[in-house]
Formats: sequence, C-alpha cells, structure tokens
Amino acid sequence: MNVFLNDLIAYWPQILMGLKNTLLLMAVMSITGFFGGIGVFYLSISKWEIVRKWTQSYISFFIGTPLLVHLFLMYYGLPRLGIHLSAFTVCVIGFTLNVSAYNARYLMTAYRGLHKSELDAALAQGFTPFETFRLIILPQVLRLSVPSLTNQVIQNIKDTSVAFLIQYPDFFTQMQEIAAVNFQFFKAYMTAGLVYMAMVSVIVVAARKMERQIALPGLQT
Amino acid sequence: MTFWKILIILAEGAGYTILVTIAAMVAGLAVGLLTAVLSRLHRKYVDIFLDVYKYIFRSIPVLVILFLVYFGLPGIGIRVPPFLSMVVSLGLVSGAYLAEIFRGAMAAVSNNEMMAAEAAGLKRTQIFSHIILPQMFRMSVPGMINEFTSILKYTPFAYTVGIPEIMKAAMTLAAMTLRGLEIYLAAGIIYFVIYKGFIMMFAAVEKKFHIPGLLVE
Repeated sequence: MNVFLNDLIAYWPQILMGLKNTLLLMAVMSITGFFGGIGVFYLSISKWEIVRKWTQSYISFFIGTPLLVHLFLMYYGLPRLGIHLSAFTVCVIGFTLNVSAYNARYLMTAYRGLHKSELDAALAQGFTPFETFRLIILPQVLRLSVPSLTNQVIQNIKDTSVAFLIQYPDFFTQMQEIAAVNFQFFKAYMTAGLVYMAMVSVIVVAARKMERQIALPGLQT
Repeated sequence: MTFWKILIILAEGAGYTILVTIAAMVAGLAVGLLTAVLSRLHRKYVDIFLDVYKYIFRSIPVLVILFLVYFGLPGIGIRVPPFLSMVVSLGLVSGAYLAEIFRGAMAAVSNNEMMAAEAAGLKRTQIFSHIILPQMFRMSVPGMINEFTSILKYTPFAYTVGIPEIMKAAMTLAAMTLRGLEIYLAAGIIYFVIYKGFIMMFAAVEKKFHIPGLLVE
C-alpha cells in the first residue's frame, strides 16, 4: 500500500488536473443539458405536429443509442469531412445532446401532470403561448422535476468516465496511467471508485438541500 | 464498400451485443429480486447491507466497475473471463437500480391485502410469491424498461475487455477502411434497431400482463 500511496503522491498534480477536467466537463454538460432540455421540451409541446414528431424522434434516438457511438462518430468520423474537434468539444456536444434528451423527457412527464385548465385560463387571460410557457408551465414543471434533474447530474458525473475512451484527460484516464506504471490495477480502480463515490455523495447532499429549499409547504407531489 | 455492406458486417457483432444485454438483464433481475426478498426479512443488518450495496453500485461508473473486475481482480488472484466480467458488472449495477425500483413498487402494494392474506392463512413465502411479487412486477414495468435500455447502452464498453460486439467490429472496420463516419453512423442505426426491438418486446409483455383499468404512474 505504501508504494501505491507514494505513487499517488508523486502523481498528485496529474490526478488533480484529471479531477479538474472531470468536474469541468460535468459542470459544463449539466448546464448546457439543463437549458438544452428546456429547449427540447419547448419543441416537444409545440403546436405544430411536425415539430413534435421530429422532437420525439430526436429524444428517442438519443435515449436509444449508446453515448459512446455518438462520441466516436464525432471524434473519429467527422475528421473525414475535414472537421477536427477536440476531445473536450466532442464530449460537450455529445453529452449535451444526450442529457438534453433525457431532461426533456423528465420535463414531459411532469408536464403531463399539470392541470390543462390552468393553461386554458392563462390563454383566456391574454397570455401569449410563449408567456404561458415561461410563466405558467416552466416554473411548475421544473419544480416537479427537481429529483429527476438532480439524478441526471449524478448520472452526468459518472458518465464523464466514458470520455477517457476518446482520450479526454479526465480523472479516470489519470488513474489508468498510474495503474499502467505501477501495475497496481486493483488499488488504482478501487481508489477511482471511492473518489467517484465521494463526488456523487457531495451532489446527493447538495440536491437534498436544494429539494428542501424549493419545496412548497403543504404541496404533495 | 457500400453503406449496406457496412451494416451487414457490423450486424455480425450484434449477436454478442444482444447476448451481453440479455445475460446482464437476467443477472440484474436475479440480483434485484434477491434484494426484494431480503428486504422483506426486515432485519436491521440486512437492510444496512442492502443500502450500502445500492449506494456503492449506483455511485460508481459502470466503466470503473468493469475495469475493476476485469483488470483489477487478477491483481488479488481472481481471474474473471471477459464475458463474465461484463455480465457481473452490469448485473450488479442494474441490480442496484432495480432494487430501488422494486422497493418503490413493493411499498405501493396495499397493506390491507397482506393482512387479508395473513388472515386467510397464507404463509409468508406464499404472500410474497402470490400477493407481492405479481403486483410488484406489474408496477415496475416502466422502471424496468428504462433499466434494460441502460444496459443495452452500456454494452459498447464490452469492446474494452475484448468482446467482439458491434463497437469492436466498428472499430476494426474503421481502422481498416478509415471511413469512421459511415461506420459509426451504421453502428448507431443498429443499436437503435435493437433498442426498438427490445421496446416492442417489452410493450408486448406489458400488454399481456396489463390489468384493464388500472393506471400506474
């Protein structure tokens, strides 16, 4: 164990950089995925049937195909068209498209639970459709989806580990390199697992706190 | 090489993808069911054990668990073959999620029904298999479909341990022909077809066991 600890200390700057990259990717895709999800949700309740249909196909495609395929498609496929993207850019685009699809689906589920009479009332009061969306639908739907949306953030931090397969220097890549040097694969992956658990725990605690804060007293969902 | 030819070559890997998916589903279901049985014991230590298990396997990435099993365990003298590593890792992860889904579904089974069953003289094992289990399964269907979709989407990781599934076939082909764009697009299409196939299968199962008039949220 001592040898392994020494290696961890020796590679500390590298590990720290990996952690920074992991957290950066997680933060970026959580934010872009959040707004992307709202955008896709807006399209999926559009009054145009063709828009709704295409949005449904989009959601279904990204939920039905592995993220790794999207990443490989962009990272190894696009250069053929002369488009060279960095691993980070590929991750951000790929993850955003995925997370948006999932988030939109959570919002749709919450939307189905809304009282449709409320929306009619808003239109009758003279709200434009966009105002109805922004002021009536969105606040309620977001509040109802908080548990799903925070679960998605937890999923996001775990999914960043996939980025290592397209050479993004994230935390898992660094642990991998340490293991390749000292052959202590078991200890390296155990350590990686524990670190991911710690990161997830922080998010879980923060999410619970947020849920309590935004809960409406007496509202049963 | 035409796009059609690429599709056919990649489809040869689909067999392994489907095999891994089904094996992991069965393993996940077995683990999930075991947790459901254990949670009915209402023993403090068993409950703590289940909570710890669920927490660990829901917070560590699948890829890390797979690498730990396949590349890590030999370091302490346990050699696990590639296919088994994949099934064990995915089975334990999806088992943890299914445990949570089953727990929610079991909580929704009415207590009165269980008391009635007890009063009617049913044994605990009978109550579990005849009263709880059938209702739990029905109510878990949407969650189970989500979980099985996740399993399918994690199967490309199998290429990292050398299982010749779709992704592995795509990478080999891409290395030979340098036509990554079409090849990975074809891979995406094949995955989507498998996904749709599974969804249709589940929908048929759901329809068969659906109780008319019962709405499950």
